[in-house]
Order: sequence, then structure tokens, then C-alpha cells
Amino acid sequence: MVGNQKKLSRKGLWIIIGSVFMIAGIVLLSFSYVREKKIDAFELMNLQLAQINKKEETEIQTSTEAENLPEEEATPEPIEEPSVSIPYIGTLEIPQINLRRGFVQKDSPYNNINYAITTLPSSTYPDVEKGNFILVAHSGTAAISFFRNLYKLSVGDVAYVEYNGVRYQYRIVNIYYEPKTGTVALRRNGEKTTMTLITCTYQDDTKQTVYILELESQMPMQ
Amino acid sequence: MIPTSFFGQLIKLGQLLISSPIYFGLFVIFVLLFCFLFLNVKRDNVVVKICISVLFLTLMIFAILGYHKSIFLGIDYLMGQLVLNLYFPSLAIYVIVLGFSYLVFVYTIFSKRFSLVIKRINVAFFTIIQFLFSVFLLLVITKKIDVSSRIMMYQSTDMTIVLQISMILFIFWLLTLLIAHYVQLIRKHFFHHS
Repeated sequence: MVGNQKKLSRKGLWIIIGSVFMIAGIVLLSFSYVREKKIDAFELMNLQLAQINKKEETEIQTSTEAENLPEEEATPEPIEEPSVSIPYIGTLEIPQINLRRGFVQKDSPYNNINYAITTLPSSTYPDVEKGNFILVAHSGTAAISFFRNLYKLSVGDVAYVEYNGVRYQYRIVNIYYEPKTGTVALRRNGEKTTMTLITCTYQDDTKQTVYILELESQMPMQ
Repeated sequence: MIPTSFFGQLIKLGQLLISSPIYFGLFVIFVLLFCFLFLNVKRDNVVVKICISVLFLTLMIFAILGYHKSIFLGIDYLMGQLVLNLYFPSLAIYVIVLGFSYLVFVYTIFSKRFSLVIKRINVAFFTIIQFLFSVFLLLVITKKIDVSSRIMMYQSTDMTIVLQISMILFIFWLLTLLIAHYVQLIRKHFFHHS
């Protein structure tokens, strides 16, 4: 009995091979971009959740004070463990490059350059007068390169930090380059409250760029 | 912003079109395109097909050359929103996913067009997505989750996991269907009897 087998034509074979290569190419090219968008989406949700949790904590504290219980300490209702994967305490915003990222406590396990914008151990927080708030992050093309567009900034550009219910406005006063040796010299005005942003220099593996920003104004957030 | 009637909006649109030569020119181009397509759509004519292809290519090239920055920003924003809705879908998006799964399931059951493989794929994914929907409902009831706001939904880790798994499975389902249909197409057109 003659078999009734179906055979793939040459044209069909080329179409299949071409499709496989096309799909593989699209996946490879878009993988990094989609991963970046995924990180942005998680970042956005983390920031919104952090704001809500902060609001709930403030409301509980306010209602506890209003009750005025002198004899025993008021025990606020426990807040349900949120799904925030990274517990932000503040945000850095630079409108010029569409950057809005959270930062964590210095002693948090997430205060790591592979998770978030990192606060250096020697840094103060924005609410310290004449202090220097130092943030570092990767530049480059990886999804964790939160400072990838910092090279587009110039002297005079503005950045905002939201921390502890206050919005701080800073302005870039100096940009300079330091060789990558493991340490960096910070040249700032010690009489001013400043913020320093440090990242690898754009298209130069041997240097790092230091941005010095001075505090211009601060106002309580609503 | 005051709501206007549909006819009121048409009048405002008409005023916009005659307010500037570029809008009016655009309007005339599309009227001519409409007339051309309306009169020629039935003709199986190579000239018609070529004209339409050239016209759309020209419009696309014009748009890209003149507005590429805005177009790329728009596409970038759209991708961001797509990924955000993939990992953190709002209630509306989730309901659309459920609706789609119901439609596909009903069509699968009653249609004779689908192969056995595709039917089994549809049934499997439908069952899993419905199970996750039941878990979602239980979570809403037991944990008293406010589903009216996207951010309130994701305050719960369990809810986040259920919704993310549902969306990823849904995308995987769509891709599987695409591949299955593509394989069927290849078999239909490019396999021949030896």
C-alpha cells in the first residue's frame, strides 16, 4: 500500500527557518528594553505603595496623639505587611531626564547598587543642614542603570528629593570627572546643604562623573 | 470641561478643520482617499493595490520623518503602559482578560474549526485562569481588599501574585495559540503529499 505521507516543501522549510530566526532576533533585541520597562513598572508601584504606607503611618500617629491617653501607651493598629518589594524612604526626581526613583535607608539590605539608587554610608540625609546627601547608581545600558541619562544634565539643572514629608529642590552647581580608583574627592561648599550624584562617565570606563547640587529651597509636601 | 453632545463635538471638529490650511489639506486628502477606496474596493485590480500600498507607505514615511520623536515617545509610553498592565493589571484589564477567556472557551466548545490540540490548550488555560479568578474572589472577600483602586489591590502580596500569574498565563496562552495556528497554516499550505 502506498504511504500517504505529507512532506514539507522547500519553501515551507525556509519560511519556518526564517520565522524562527525572526522571532529569536525580536526577542533578543527587545529583551533588555522590556526588562527596563518591567523595572520602571515595579518602581512606579513601589513608589506609590510607599506613599500610601507613609500616609497610613502618619494618620495612625495623628489619631494616636489626638486620643491623648496619659496612663497607658496607645497601641496603633498593626499595618498589614505591604507588598512593596523595596521599602523606599524617599525619592529622587530629575524632570530634565524623566528620572523618578526611590532610595532606601542606608542600612537596608536593598541599599545596593543592583537594587536601587544607593545612599553611600558616609552620606547624610537631606534634612541635615550643611550635610551632603550622596547617591550613586550605574550608568550604561543595563536595566539597573538608573543613572543612564545623567550625562545629559548640565550646570543649572534642577533635581528634587522627597524625604520625610518635605520636598527639597537642588540645583547643579558643578560637574567634574574623577578617575575610577575606588575613592572619589567631593569638592563642595561646606557651608551649604548639598547633594552629590556619582556615576560612571558616559562612554568612558576609566572615569566617574560627580554632580554637585546645592539646596535651593524646601517645602512640606501636601 | 463641560460635556457636549455628539453633534456639538462634530461642529467643533469642523471649526478646527477650517481654522488652518494644514488641517483642511489633511481633510481633503482623506476625502479623496475615501472616494478612491469606495469606488475601487471591489475591483481586483493590481493598480488599486499598488496605489493603496504606495499611499500608505508615503503617509507613514512622512509621519516618521516629520514626527519621529513624538512617535517614538508615544510608542515608548505605550510599551511602558503595556508592561505596567501586564505586571500590575487594573480591575478593568483583568475583567477583559477573563471575558476573553470565556469567549474563547465557548467558541472552542461549539466550533468544529479547531483542531484537538488547540481545543485542549484552550480548555487547559481556561481552567487555570478560572481557578485563579476564584482565588482572587476569595482574597477580595477574606482580606477585604478594595479593588476599585489599582494601588489598593497591590497592597496585598497574595493578590499581586494571583494577578501576575493570571496575566503571564494569559500572554503565554495567546502565544501558544499563535504558534499553533501558525503551525496549522504551514501544514496546510506547505505540506504536500509525497
